[in-house]
Amino acid sequence: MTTPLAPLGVVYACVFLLAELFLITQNAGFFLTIWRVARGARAAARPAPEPPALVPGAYPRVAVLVVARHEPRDVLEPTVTTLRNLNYPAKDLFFLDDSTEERYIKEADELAVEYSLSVFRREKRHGAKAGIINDFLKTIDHPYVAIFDADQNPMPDFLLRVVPILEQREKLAFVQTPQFYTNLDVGPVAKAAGMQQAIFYEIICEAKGSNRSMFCCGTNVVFRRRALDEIGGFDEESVTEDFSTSLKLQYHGWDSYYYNHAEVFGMGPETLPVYFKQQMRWAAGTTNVFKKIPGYFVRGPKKLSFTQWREYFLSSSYYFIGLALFILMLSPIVNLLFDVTPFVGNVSLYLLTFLPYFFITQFLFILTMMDRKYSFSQIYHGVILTFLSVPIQMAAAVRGLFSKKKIFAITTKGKNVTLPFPMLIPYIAFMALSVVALAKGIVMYFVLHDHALVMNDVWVVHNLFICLNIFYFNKKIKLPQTAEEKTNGDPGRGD
Amino acid sequence: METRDEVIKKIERAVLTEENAVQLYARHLKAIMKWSGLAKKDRAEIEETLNILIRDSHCHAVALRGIRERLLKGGGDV
Repeated sequence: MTTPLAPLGVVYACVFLLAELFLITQNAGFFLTIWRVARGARAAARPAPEPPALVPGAYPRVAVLVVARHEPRDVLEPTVTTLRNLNYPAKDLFFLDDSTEERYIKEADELAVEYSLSVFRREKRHGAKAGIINDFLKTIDHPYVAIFDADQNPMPDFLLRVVPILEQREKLAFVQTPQFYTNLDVGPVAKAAGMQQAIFYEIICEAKGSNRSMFCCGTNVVFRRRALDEIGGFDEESVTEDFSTSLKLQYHGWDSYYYNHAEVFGMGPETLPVYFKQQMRWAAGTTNVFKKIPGYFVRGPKKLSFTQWREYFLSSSYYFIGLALFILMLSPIVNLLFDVTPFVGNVSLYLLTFLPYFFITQFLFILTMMDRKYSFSQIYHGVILTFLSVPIQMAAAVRGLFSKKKIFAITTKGKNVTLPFPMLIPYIAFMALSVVALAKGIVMYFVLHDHALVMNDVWVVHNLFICLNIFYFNKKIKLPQTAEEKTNGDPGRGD
Repeated sequence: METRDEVIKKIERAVLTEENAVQLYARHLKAIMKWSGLAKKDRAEIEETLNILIRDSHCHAVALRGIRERLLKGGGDV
């Protein structure tokens, strides 16, 4: 790596530099987040503040919505049970069923009868979840609307804790609460997804909340109806309607609040196809909002504070991480196989600059999570799955930036599936290239005695190890039997 | 005063709650306790309490079903 850059090396160096700059920006954002959370007197270590009590007899009406499309009864029933158990006296439950398949419609109707729920369906589909909520809002006049996904189970006092916060602060558009996955023992994907949720809800959201830049996460949230009406309802143009609607609300002067209290539990994705589908939607949706942010900024730079703009920029650009990581992971292979050098420098300089940066960011992250009682194994699972999501995040980022076609797929849980072979090809190809590059690197080291080759080989081994994990995460798991399987005498999924 | 049918309906809902809800909350709480930072001994104690709640809930469901049967056999409102 001490020879001058070749023309192709210059091009690759630019791309490499952009990727590094992106990662440094995101890491700096994460560092500020950790700093803010730590400075906030270790708020997460303490219970969230007790909200004020409502005056008995003066409870504002809350419409509690559960939105579902093709969700099996096994997933819906616990949610409906917990919603019915909300000990808030002025609540009305509504089941917004967007299913088109007869089987799910029938199951939803049966549940509605058993649990005395009002079912809402619409004639014409538009805008997926945002669309059905907007259509439904036209039929009610409740001042508050609580929204839950089909697999989210709130504790009985959820509304008693959240509604008083909205009552106390008139400019609050919504109060978001965290979600905790409790199916972590099902398999490695659930464990890793649970860890990623924890990083998001326990650190990132806490900092965003204190920066007045918390965005809605689509579920476990209570909205002020007036705020939604003012901006024309949920944004139907985005696949992450929660994120884009939040930006719109804050742009129009509304505030948001993050109530970091474990009040809602749910199921995380259990298999790679389900996890990737979820990631694809989130990544494409937020990247799509990223495109809109410059327009918002030009139209009203003072409508959000500098911190709010920064937070929205970091969140909406986060999913470019797939592209950035891919460029970095490809670098040692490109260098070893094609002699394309992205930067010129000596090994000592590299060891003195990049490695401390790399280890400090890794240690800071690991220590922060361990401080929150997460085990090393959980953290490891979360990190590896992030790396394995690189191809999906890349595809989603490109789609979010350039495609007008929306992906409205809902991530149905509880099905035991694995990635088909064609989806494993990118990983296998990368591993094959890594092995060839590694072999060439070792041979060349014995010929040239260039220490830079050792550094490249180390990174190749690191990346190869990450990729090998695809087989660990993509295995069949033992899921509990569904009601249907029990009836049919099926021994269970995953066998 | 409530009609017999209304009371039976309420009892049926209560049975559903006893049968499903307590188990459900217990399952979630047991899972989340792993991340609580509580000592193993304290976690075991809480888990035992949750198990007692589940057992009690079964008893409540049986009792409620008994009342429902009696109401179904009787004729008038309550």
